[in-house]
Amino acid sequence: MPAGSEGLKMSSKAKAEKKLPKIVYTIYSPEYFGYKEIGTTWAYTPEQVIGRTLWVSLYTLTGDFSHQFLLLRFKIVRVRDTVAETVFYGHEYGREFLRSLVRRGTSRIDMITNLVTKDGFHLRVQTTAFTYNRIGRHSWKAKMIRRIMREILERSAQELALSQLSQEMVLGKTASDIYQEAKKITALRHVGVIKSKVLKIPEWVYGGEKLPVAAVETERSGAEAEAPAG
Amino acid sequence: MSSAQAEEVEKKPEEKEAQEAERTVVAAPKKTLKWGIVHIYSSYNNIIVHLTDLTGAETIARASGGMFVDAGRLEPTPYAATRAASYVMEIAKQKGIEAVHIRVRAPGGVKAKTPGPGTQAAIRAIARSGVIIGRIEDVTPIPHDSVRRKGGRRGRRV
Repeated sequence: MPAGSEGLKMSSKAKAEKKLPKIVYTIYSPEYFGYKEIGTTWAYTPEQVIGRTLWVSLYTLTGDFSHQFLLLRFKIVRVRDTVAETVFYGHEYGREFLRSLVRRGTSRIDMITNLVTKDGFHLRVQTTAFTYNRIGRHSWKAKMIRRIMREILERSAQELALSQLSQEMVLGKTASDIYQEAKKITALRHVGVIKSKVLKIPEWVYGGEKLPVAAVETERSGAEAEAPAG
Repeated sequence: MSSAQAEEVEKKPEEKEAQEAERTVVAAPKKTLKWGIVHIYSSYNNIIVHLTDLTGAETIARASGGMFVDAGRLEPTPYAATRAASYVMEIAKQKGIEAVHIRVRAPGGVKAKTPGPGTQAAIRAIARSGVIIGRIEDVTPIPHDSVRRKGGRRGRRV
């Protein structure tokens, strides 16, 4: 018997004794997306589950097949017994659907911007407009459309919490607002918030408590005071 | 009015209620399926079939083409892919996975952006295993720009 093999045997035995069955956790969508069961995951401890993310089609939440192309990402932020609760962590158009929107002889105007919501989430959002006719990439039309996109998104972020902003982005309210303004500049085929991702989740989310209104106000005023200095 | 319809009318309301109650008892409760994700990495040199939970954090089963053939050149073949996928789905059934999403990818980046020859065979093997298939996605990493391809200025010298 080679030296040290007994030690190895012992350690493997100890490991086998330690190994407990994994617990199955049921993942639920956030309240603002209906608090529906969206899947399961399993782990030894609840701490292992926190931070995991999963992609879900909007179709599974709404039941509307036309929403099949839109994928939502949720992140597990807290666990209660065997229920894993999530927050919105981003969304994206399906690759094939986005590909189908791109056509020859037309233009695609993209705008990527960072936002801070009313309740302290940091987001990066990509908005895209597809035109009927080709317009220059640096033309005044493209610049105006980008400016409209930025203004509308920043205004929404200032006024809304992530729960409302994510719904508006995903269900098309933001896109429709942009379309109404931007169509005055050039004829548009499609406008959409094609991608978003949450860059920073505020600490209070992990506690599971709702942030009191006063705290939101102080956080916002603090962020505003910091902004010019940065 | 046919005789069958006449009988239906004649049935007492209590009887109907009893029948309704019976029906509701008999109806199976709505069962949620246990989902997984099959990640298929398919290159021109090998194929890896990897089954995880929906978050991708927990591996359920994994197999590669090289586990089922001896020669390196046979690793990406449809035969190896079928064997790998069947092996993974066998374990999936044992673990109680009833439905899967499929995420296919090629090496991507500066390398091949089209999945290898084993992909279709692997998907067919998954379908034949009897599990429900949800979405089939291509998740090949496509760069918006690119890094420099390996091989140096004068290319690969063989």
